[in-house]
Amino acid sequence: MDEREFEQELRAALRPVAAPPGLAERIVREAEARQAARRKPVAQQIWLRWGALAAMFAAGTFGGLHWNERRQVEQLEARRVAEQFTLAMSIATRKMSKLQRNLVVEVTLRPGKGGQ
Amino acid sequence: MGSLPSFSELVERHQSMVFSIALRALANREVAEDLTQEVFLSLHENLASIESEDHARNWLRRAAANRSVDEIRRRKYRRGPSLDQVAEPAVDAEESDPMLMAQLRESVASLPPLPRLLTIMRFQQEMEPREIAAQLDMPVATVKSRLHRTMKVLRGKLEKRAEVRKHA
Amino acid sequence: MRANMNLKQITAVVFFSTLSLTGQELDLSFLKGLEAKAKESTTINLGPEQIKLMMGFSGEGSKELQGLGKNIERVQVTTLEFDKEGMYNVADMDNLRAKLKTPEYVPFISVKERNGFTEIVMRKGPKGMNGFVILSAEPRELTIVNIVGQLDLASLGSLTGKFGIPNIHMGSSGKGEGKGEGKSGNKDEDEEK
Repeated sequence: MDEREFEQELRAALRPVAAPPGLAERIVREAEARQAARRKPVAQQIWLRWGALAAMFAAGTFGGLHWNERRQVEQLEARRVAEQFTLAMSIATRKMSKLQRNLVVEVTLRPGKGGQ
Repeated sequence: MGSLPSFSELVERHQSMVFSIALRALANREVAEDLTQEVFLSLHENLASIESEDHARNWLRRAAANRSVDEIRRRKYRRGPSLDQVAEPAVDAEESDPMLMAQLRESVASLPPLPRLLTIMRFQQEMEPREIAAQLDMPVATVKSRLHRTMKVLRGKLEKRAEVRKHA
Repeated sequence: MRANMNLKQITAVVFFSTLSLTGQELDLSFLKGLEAKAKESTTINLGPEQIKLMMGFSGEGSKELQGLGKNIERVQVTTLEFDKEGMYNVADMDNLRAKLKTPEYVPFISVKERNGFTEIVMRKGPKGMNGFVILSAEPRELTIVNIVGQLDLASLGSLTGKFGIPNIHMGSSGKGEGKGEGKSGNKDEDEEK
């Protein structure tokens, strides 16, 4: 096989392939979700949800809830905290990622270690 | 240059290009899909700095190449399925010599990160050495010499495989 | 016999204990004035009680979140986005940067950019590092992240690509998307064999 033929075969082997079906929709959806997460007025959300909970406590309804409902309320609150937590992690990793891209030398983060 | 299409249009028009670069670089469909998504999400975050569709295409190609190189290096140090495991179907009905195609893909997938990407940019994306040099911030002469050396290596690998098959 | 500490020593212990307790939550009240000028702002301050609550979450991703949150005591994030450049002064951060120059903190990385900077400062703890602070000043965005506790980066890695958490490559030498990777971080690695 001469050089030209080899290059032709290489082109054929590496030819572009179609992206999997549904990938574009997934990407656009994820982009919109991230944008919404960045813009979410977290403070407002907290106020609204805490307000609802506070109202329930004030009305003495919490104590009157069945175990199931109480668990649901707790889960609602846990989910709220989880959302904030993941948003915080998202922001932190974005900043670290940007920093990493701007660095000339390789950096390895070592959790839990370091000089005293 | 033209005006900039919407983000979803950019995804539709260029997803296959990004996916193809990632797939041939990483030889794993799932990882290539993830990388494709991350490249476009990064584009989305940087959309304000993109001036035209041409600019977007170049940006995407460069991002796909850079991230592929990073991913290759990262997976080298991680336990788990080897990079050589090709998750995509090895045989395509349209290929006249499927075995040769598979061997060539495996040979490319066994190259170190930078030569692998240079090969993909040249023979998949049909970029001239000076275009590759501009995209990857390398001197043209370096791109040319690396490509030349890589072709020799790939041909050597192919010949070795042919020898092994002959004696098998 | 050293059984009884004198008053001076007790005061010192209380003082330094208090310092280390209050040193964990950053006082970001100086940002109040800037919040009013910001187009958008995000403020998160999760203390031990809230993180404990989160550990009881049983929805999708709870396992990864529990892995991540198990050794974290506090998460504080403030992000301010502005309409245009020049709406805040990088020097506004100097006060905070000065507070992070105490012996409790160890500078880790500092990168100066065109109109700003990004810094990571590690926090010392009794058993090694106990968290970090990220300060990021960009032309139109100011971000402060304060993590107290041991952040399990492996768990964070398992969450990347989900919940809006982007990928972060550990140990990668990639340059900016807009710039090419002209030189390999490892010459031997890029030699064909």
